[in-house]
Amino acid sequence: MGIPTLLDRPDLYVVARLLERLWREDAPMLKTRLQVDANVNYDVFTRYLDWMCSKSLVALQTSDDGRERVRLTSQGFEAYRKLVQWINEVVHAHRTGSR
Amino acid sequence: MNPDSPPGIRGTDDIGATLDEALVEARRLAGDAHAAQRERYQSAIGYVLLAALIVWFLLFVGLGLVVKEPDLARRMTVSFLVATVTAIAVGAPGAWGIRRRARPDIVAAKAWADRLGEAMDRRRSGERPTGSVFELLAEAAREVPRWLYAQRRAGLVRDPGTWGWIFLLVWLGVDILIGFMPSSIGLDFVATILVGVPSFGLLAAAAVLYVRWRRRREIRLETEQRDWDRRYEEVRGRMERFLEEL
Repeated sequence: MGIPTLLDRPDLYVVARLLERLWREDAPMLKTRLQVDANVNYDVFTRYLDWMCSKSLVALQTSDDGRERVRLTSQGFEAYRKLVQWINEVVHAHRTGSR
Repeated sequence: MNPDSPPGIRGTDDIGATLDEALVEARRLAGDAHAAQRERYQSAIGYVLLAALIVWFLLFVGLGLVVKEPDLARRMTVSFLVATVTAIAVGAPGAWGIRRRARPDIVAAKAWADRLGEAMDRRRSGERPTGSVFELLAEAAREVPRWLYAQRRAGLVRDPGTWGWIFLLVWLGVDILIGFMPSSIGLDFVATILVGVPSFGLLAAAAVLYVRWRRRREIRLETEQRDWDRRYEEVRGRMERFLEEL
């Protein structure tokens, strides 16, 4: 398999999905499990994971059993929090006057 | 708390509360829209039934007076049968048309309310959500103008002026037709035209009024949806820029 290229423009939903899954788990997750839960193919997952690592949103660590796990960093946590706050504002936007 | 997680990462976790807040609001909007649409559908069916009943009554009484049949029982039977068949012929397609138009919106709003409600329940019970709550909210946010619009518009009840005129025109048109047409059977062509043209004119005016009212309503919804979509895309753009600039 070739070296996956870094993303130019990440899809908001995919990033949010990965961040949410890690946030919900509250513990490092196996890469394969995260990929399955995020419902993206391996190539896409690898590219997003690389991109998220490069932005320090997530970090990789090898557990005692030698398997690689992904954990949410504090930056990743903050990024997800910001996304959730924005979507909450959108849902409530009608109260601030859409007309 | 997992020992591998950075210390304090979930210590001040307001994300769950924010997600819940957004879910509650979206669920409320979808639920209210569903209730408003269902109520409007039931009102519309009620109006059709009322109209069918009026048609039945007018025909029954009118035919009872004009049918030249000396036997009262026979005359009543004929009036009853004709009035019933006509009322069904008027009411059934009307009710079917209303159901056909209203059902997709009602089903869609119900499906949204159920999806959001299920996500809320899962979060409350600590069950694992079936998908991303963020994505669900992002999708739901697109529907907000439709839900708001569904709550605001309640057809007849919310626009009594226009609907008063429509009702009056239909009433007069039908009244002239039912009142004068049977007696014009023996009249010549000119007299029939004199009776028919005003009544059909009134019915046509009612139809034009209704079509215009509906068009205005659709334009308003389209404008609101466009504005909302624009604002949504702005926020989405902000979120994407935020990710790019990390």
